[in-house]
Amino acid sequence: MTYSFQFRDVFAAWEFLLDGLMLTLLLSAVTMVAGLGIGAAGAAAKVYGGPWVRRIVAGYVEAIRNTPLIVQLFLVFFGLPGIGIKFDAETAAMLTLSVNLGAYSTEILRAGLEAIPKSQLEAGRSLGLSGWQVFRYVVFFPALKVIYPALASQLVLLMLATSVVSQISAEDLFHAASIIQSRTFRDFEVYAVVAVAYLALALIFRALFALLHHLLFARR
Amino acid sequence: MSLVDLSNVVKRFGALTVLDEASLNVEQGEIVAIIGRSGSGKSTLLRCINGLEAIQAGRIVVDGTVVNEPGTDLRALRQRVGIVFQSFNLFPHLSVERNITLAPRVVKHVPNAQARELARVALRKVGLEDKIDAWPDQLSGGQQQRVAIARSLAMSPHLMLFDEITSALDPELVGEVLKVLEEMAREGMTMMLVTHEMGFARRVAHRVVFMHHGKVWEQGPAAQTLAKPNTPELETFLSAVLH
Ligand SMILES: Nc1ncnc2c1ncn2[C@@H]1O[C@H](COP(=O)(O)OP(=O)(O)OP(=O)(O)O)[C@@H](O)[C@H]1O
Ligand SMILES: [Mg+2]
Repeated sequence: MTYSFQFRDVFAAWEFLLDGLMLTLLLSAVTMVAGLGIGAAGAAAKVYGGPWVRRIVAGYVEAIRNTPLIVQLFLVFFGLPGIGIKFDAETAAMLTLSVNLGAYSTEILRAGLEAIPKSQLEAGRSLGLSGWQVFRYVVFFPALKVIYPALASQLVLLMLATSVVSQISAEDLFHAASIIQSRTFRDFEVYAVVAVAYLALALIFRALFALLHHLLFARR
Repeated sequence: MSLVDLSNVVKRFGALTVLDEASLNVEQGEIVAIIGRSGSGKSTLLRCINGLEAIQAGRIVVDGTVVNEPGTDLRALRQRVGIVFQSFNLFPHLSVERNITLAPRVVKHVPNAQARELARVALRKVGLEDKIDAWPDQLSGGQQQRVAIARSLAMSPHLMLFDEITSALDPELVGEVLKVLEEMAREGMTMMLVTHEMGFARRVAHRVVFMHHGKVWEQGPAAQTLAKPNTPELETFLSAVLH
């Protein structure tokens, strides 16, 4: 017996898929901004902060990098209410993903800051630039260039990782797929469609990052 | 009053004393060559003068500013004291023009159009006006070092510090950089230069300062001091570098 593919039922539920896609994109966008913000603060604290600040940030980074994302998510969504802190699914998802990306990007951004030789900072200071100006005009751009590929990969990974939020019933793309599956029983078709959707998203993300790279770093 | 006045300067890195009661005066318009063995504290001395290194004792006055006081505005001082390093330290992500105009624009708030003119004038002094739109990695070592000099000159400094600025260059590129220094000397710039180029020191410097064990061990008029050293330490040093 040969299997006959039936995509019609899956595509009939396109509105579901589109709503899910929207939440996936929203989660990715908010998390990128918040997570990179946390990462920038974390990296600055690690490179320029005092010993205690550095230790606290290192603890945060290691705790996040050495536990599964889904456990972090469950801890926030199911665990925190136990001690009286309650979020809806979307908020819990954004919070967890941001804190998670914050840890990974702290390490990436720190590597960028440390990749700039001390002699560059001294050249800037010797010309009368303030500490902030040295960072802004001497360190920032070359540091970003060094870590750009790692950062772009991390952001694509983050977008794919948002699929975990379906486990706390946040209605993202993958959640939509599960709903459609339970209605149509077209397992192969529905998961093939979302796989292709995630693949397309990832490729679009990479293309956008490549374009941004060109805009930022190509010489005029 | 001297443009640079160091008295009994002590600089330590942990347990290591690098400057040991070093004292030195440099007058307006003077060119002083600083020589000495590796590790004798020559670079550290220059770095203390523009406040890149803090000192543990003594007093440094540069261009009327006491460098080693808590309230000193080091940024204001550094606008008047240029320093050029052995490794050029151009900013790789900026064009030659932007390298030169960065400090005038962000520190002195010179408008963009005027800043480009400033870059042009500075580059003319080092013979590289045609490289204004080039990038650092498109230049030879000698050209990069001349851009680094132009970058300092664009701030109109009262004093220039040079730390072995030809040591990282291929021998055939040393001449073009020394020529720029000679031109600056003719224009009356006050300069302190750490150098291993004894011939250049004899020809261009008014005075030679020999550093040894973190002290100003011996100093005097360039030609005379290099020809007839007073201390056995300088004699040993000279015979080692001149063979
Ligand atoms: N940041 C630092 N931390 C610790 N020690 C240092 C530091 N900078 C310099 N030193 C030490 O201070 C001593 C003097 O260094 P300095 O660079 O002033 O010597 P120098 O005369 O310029 O030598 P060279 O001819 O090799 O450039 C050396 O022993 C050096 O190792
Ligand atoms: Mg040195």
